[in-house]
Amino acid sequence: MDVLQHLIVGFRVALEPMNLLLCFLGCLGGTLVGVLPGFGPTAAMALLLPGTFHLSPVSAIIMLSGIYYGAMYGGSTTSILVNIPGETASVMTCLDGYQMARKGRAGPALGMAAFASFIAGTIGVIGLMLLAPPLARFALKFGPPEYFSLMLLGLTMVSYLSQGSMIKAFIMAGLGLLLSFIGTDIISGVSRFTFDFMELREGVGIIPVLMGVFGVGEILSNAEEEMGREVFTQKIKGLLPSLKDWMDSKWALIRGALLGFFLGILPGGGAAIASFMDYALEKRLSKHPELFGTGTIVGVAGPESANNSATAGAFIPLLTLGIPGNAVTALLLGAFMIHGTQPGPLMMQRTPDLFWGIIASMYVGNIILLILNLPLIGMWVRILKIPYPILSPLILLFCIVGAYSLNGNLWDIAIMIFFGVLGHVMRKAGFEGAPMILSLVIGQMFENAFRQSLLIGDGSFLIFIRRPISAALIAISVFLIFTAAFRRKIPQTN
Amino acid sequence: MRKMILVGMLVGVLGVFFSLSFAAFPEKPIQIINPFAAGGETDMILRIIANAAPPHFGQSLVVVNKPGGGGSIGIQYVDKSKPDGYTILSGSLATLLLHPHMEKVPYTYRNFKVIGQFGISQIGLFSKADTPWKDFQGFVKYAKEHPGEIKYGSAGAGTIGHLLMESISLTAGGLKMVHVPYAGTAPALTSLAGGHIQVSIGDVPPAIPLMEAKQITPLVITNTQRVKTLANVPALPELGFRGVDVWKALFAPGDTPPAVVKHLEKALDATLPDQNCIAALAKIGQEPDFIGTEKFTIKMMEDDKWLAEIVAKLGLAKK
Repeated sequence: MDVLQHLIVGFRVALEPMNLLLCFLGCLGGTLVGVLPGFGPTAAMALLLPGTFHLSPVSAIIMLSGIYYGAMYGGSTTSILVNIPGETASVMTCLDGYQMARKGRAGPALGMAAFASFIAGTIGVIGLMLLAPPLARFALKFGPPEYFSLMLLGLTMVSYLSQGSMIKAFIMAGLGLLLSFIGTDIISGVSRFTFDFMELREGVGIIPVLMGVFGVGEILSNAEEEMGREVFTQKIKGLLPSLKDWMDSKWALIRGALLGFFLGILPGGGAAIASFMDYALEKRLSKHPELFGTGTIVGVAGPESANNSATAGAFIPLLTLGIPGNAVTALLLGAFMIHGTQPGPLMMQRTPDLFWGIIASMYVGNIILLILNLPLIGMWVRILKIPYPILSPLILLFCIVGAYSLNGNLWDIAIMIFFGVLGHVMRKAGFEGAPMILSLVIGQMFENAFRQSLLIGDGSFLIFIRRPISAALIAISVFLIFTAAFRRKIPQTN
Repeated sequence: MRKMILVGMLVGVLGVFFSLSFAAFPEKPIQIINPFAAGGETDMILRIIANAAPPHFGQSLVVVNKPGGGGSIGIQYVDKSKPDGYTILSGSLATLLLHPHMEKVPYTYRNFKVIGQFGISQIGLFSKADTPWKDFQGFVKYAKEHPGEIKYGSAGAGTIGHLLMESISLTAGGLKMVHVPYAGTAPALTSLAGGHIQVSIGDVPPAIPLMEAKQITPLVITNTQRVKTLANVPALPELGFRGVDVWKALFAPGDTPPAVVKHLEKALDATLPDQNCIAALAKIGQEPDFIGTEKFTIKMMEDDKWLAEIVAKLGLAKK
């Protein structure tokens, strides 16, 4: 077996004491960065990049990749504990994870998030190892029409992201799309809806919106109801998922890992869209869709699994094509180049030590992260014992620091607070945040892909149907809309 | 009389104070404001220069990222900073010349004093490997004979790549091609490698792995001269077209004392040939390219004239 031999070489590199230490440091740093809302892996890696000048290329990349997938592990923590998604990929974890915490089941939620991350991370690395070159060729087949159809499929999922009124969910999705139009339009080069604010030229930052709608909005709502009320009413029950939790989640874990991996491969797709789509998929397949949003473990297991395997998937275009699919992998590409190597189609032949060393280190890193995260659960859960009147200003403080750390600009804090107030009003009126976030994330890509497709297809809409992948995705969307309309499978509580 | 003496003393003291403070420049670390997020190409170049800078600048250089507004937030920050030479700007042809022609921004390059150029971006035109043309002339000929057939990608409308391609088209007598703008160089390259478009214009370094794997081929370099990383690829001027060097340069706020600017210019000139600097830049496919204040200012004004023309011709000028 060729792969096995390569892998042995890889492990020999990854298990060198120095590399093992750096892998540990990267994972630890990533976990911490993931826990802090706002301060993401990109910023942490950029700060540490100059410090790796003196390391060997393998060691540097091992550490920096550790930060990347470590941050995905840590990202779920604040979502579950205090309803603040640190990055877009953990929005879905908020929905059920936070409800679990309020019912005293923060431990199992955090535990399931850690195990889901481990299992999906490992499945993702196996996929990366065995399938990288053919999958990279597949990813190249995704041109603008295919992206458009994929985003269309994503938007049809909106109906599954809400618990209450469908109409309200669509209103929020519409609002998200409108927000996504703000900023410079790449197709015409003109600024839209910026009202001459320079800060809006790159659009509304997604992270401050997330932290506002979810985190700040939650604090405001709790404060209004009665300051001093116990938000976490129930006694804390258990620190690890029970056998029943496992039985409920096992298929969700595997589905999440596969879906996340494939969406992760697509440049620009990535972890966020994977977790949204997986949540919708699980709700659609579940026998108890009404439980989603009330604290079901499946709602944590699926999306957490999806966003972690997406991270592994994102390495495929980077390592086999030399093309970064998102900001973090772009930074990794920079790190490769600073160390005198460039990933690409020839990397496996030219520098097998590097390629397989990184892959082996990701196996090692996932184990390190699991060992690192399980003991932390006890500590995190204890945070919830802090009385809410003391905890809430601390959360707010972290949010403000986190928002400022994004760009070093007060503007992002203002955006966060604005959306915090909006989030509070939304909550009172029964509007949910998730559909808005989904369309805000997808909106720009959706519109760009649509207009690029029409340019490529000389203005003809047939381009979306003529291409097989695009046609298949559109067929699935249409099927979903029809089944939803006729079977009324979606619970209508309002 | 007493008042006169007092004023005289004050002026004298202030004078001594100021001259002392200039003589001692720099007495604290100098901040370079990079108006983009950490981790980009310019950011890496700046950090490499900063690494090699202390012995030449007499102080450490600190790269500070002030992203937002397509670069305008960081530029405005430097514009409003104290003109003492401790806060300087990393500007480029795109952010300081091009954007003020297209967007309402509260500055032009005239708000700043040039310290010196430290590098130029390498930009090239690439085509899918299996296209019917073999070289740039073949491409131009094909585009003329098949109007509307070629789709070309760029990093977005109003980016320098877009302007260069349209300038090529105008010089060649109006090529009818469809412009497909992408959200950056990487997505455009991916789309090119996947065969969704036939040519793409953009930065050279990210295209190198795909070039080595023979998935895409370089047609021409749009700089004024050939670049070292692709020495066998012709540059635009050799083929009778206007080439443009998309420069990166350091600037100080407009009222910075000339002596301070001179000090910074000399220090930059001394840092770039530093062996550490050259070696580290070579790894990321870059070479330092210093041009001092006077020569650069002339070049910048020529570039500005050209940009104003092409922006107006394309209807992209601000209203």
